[in-house]
Amino acid sequence: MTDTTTTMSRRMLVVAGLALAVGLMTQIFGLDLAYSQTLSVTVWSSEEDPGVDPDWAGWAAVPGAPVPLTAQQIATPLGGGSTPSMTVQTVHADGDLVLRISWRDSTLDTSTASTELFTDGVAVQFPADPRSSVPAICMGQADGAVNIWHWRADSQVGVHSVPDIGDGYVDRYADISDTYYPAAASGNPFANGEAVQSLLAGSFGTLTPMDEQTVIGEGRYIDNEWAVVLRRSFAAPTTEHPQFEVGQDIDVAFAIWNGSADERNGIKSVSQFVRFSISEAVVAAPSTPTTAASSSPPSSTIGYVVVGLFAGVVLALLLVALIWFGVVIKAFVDRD
Amino acid sequence: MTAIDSRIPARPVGGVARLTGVWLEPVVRVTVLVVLAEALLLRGATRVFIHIPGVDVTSGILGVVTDLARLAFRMAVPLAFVLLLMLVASLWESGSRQVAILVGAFLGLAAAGRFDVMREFVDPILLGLVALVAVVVVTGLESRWRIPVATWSAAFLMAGLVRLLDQWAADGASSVSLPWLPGMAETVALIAFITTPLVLRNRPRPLDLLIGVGVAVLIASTLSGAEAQSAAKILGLWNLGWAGGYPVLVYAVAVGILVATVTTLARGRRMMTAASFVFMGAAGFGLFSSYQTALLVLGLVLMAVPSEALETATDDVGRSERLGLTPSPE
Repeated sequence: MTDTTTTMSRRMLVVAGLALAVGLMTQIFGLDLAYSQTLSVTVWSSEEDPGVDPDWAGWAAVPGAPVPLTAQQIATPLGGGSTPSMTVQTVHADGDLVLRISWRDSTLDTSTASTELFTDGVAVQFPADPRSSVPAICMGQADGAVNIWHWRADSQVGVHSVPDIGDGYVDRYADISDTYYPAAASGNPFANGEAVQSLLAGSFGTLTPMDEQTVIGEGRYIDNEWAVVLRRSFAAPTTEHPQFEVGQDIDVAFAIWNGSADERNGIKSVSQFVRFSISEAVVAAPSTPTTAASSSPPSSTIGYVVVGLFAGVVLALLLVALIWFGVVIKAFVDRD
Repeated sequence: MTAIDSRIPARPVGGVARLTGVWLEPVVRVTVLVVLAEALLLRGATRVFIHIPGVDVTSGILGVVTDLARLAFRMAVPLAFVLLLMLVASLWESGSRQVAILVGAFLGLAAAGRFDVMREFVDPILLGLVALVAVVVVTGLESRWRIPVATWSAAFLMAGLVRLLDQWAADGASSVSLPWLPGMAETVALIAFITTPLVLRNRPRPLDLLIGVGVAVLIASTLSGAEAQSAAKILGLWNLGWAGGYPVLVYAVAVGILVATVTTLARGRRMMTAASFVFMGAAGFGLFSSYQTALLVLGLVLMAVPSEALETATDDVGRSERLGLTPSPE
């Protein structure tokens, strides 16, 4: 081995040792030297309480973030993807996180009274420990659980009225006593009388209802569009629930089910992780007549200016590549 | 005067640059290894391969791989930023001050973004700095180099612009939407991968070709089948910015060509150039984190680093070749 090689190896060992020490320190103290540049959705502060009302007037002043969705193609049962995108708006009020999720759906599916019927629904997924790195998007991973808030249209209908089991069975038992609803009587979480379930998952096949059900929600369907509001207190009831606080960034992913498209279970439309930034910035009160977001559509001027600038640079780079591609081809042809 | 032109004739290397020059290559080598480990373990193994139907990973192995992946990430981030700082010093003292100022500004803004200072402005300005670095570096390169580097930079900028537009829509600042842009960015990125052999003077040796073909076959076979293709598509999009508009075979061939090029460069003692492509490949396309964006800047800037700043000057051949002075030995 030459002296140069030996010196290089020693220096590399020193560098690797220092990097290892710094890496372990950042791991131990939870320091992140880089920051995420993924889509960030602002969680605005609201002076007025939106409740769980999808039609709260204040939502008009809250910018909606478009979130693209794709079919779930990772774990069986595969499929879905009938909903190409959704919009999410978020505020916090009175120490609660409130999300409004809306999406186009030309069919209203609120019944699962027979085996061939499936319900519309939406789910929101948070890392159970928001300080950890982003877990696997598919139901989390062994050392990175996820908390899922699952709203179902059929459960909501069941909350407010006796579900119409109608033509689902030859013999119908409309009595709502426990005798005829053994699932509810035995504590089956699907029959718990709530429109929203809070669930915990550590990988495929580990989805489990939380003991503490602290998420509430309400959906409404108007003009071929669902709008669902989900709400939970910032304070986490246990360590398995994410804790929220102003100034925090937290990753979140979404899933939508369209019952008419036979979507259920893993057959659904899913998003990538996006980031919620819980802000102190106050969104305009609904009674305020003129707000930037509510009184006029977003300005596109800044967008066009920046797109124009970047387009110029990109075109210049591509032009350089194209010119030299021609030069190289010509040289190649001339050589032959 | 361009970045590369400004290095002729070589300027005397000062104290800081001399010190960084001694350590620059070891840091580059270690950073390459750690970044490769991070990309393969964190973004490859724990986020993509374990989700491919039919690939069984026991929880014990997964736990070990996850720990190693996180450690690699924790090591890679400081290494990338330290390396950029060293390059700023080297470039400044060797006369490539335009690039040094741009990279210095990039580091300052990345720090501002980390501490949430002017957060809404940081990403657009960072992307603008990447564009300026790309223009300065590309215009200083020897002609054939300009094709892969210019297309690579253009693809990154287009994918980054998609993210900026989404963010402005989410903030209510703008409603401009260009749904065709991700697909176009991907096409340009594939052109960049496929044209990387243009930086070589001679044909790759059989072993280098074999490694490239092996990687292509591995990718194509692992991701073949509709279920695996779809899993790879959505997770590849998440990790590397690929829109997934082409068949898996196209990506396999493109990555195979890139790997063959990098292998040829590394075996031809052109470590800095090989490292450039490794960093740019690991950066992905678009804005994911300041770490990944820093990797792209690292890759671009390493192409402009003066060889006289390196104590062992292993990339002399590559530098001379970039300037069209000498043939490479590969």
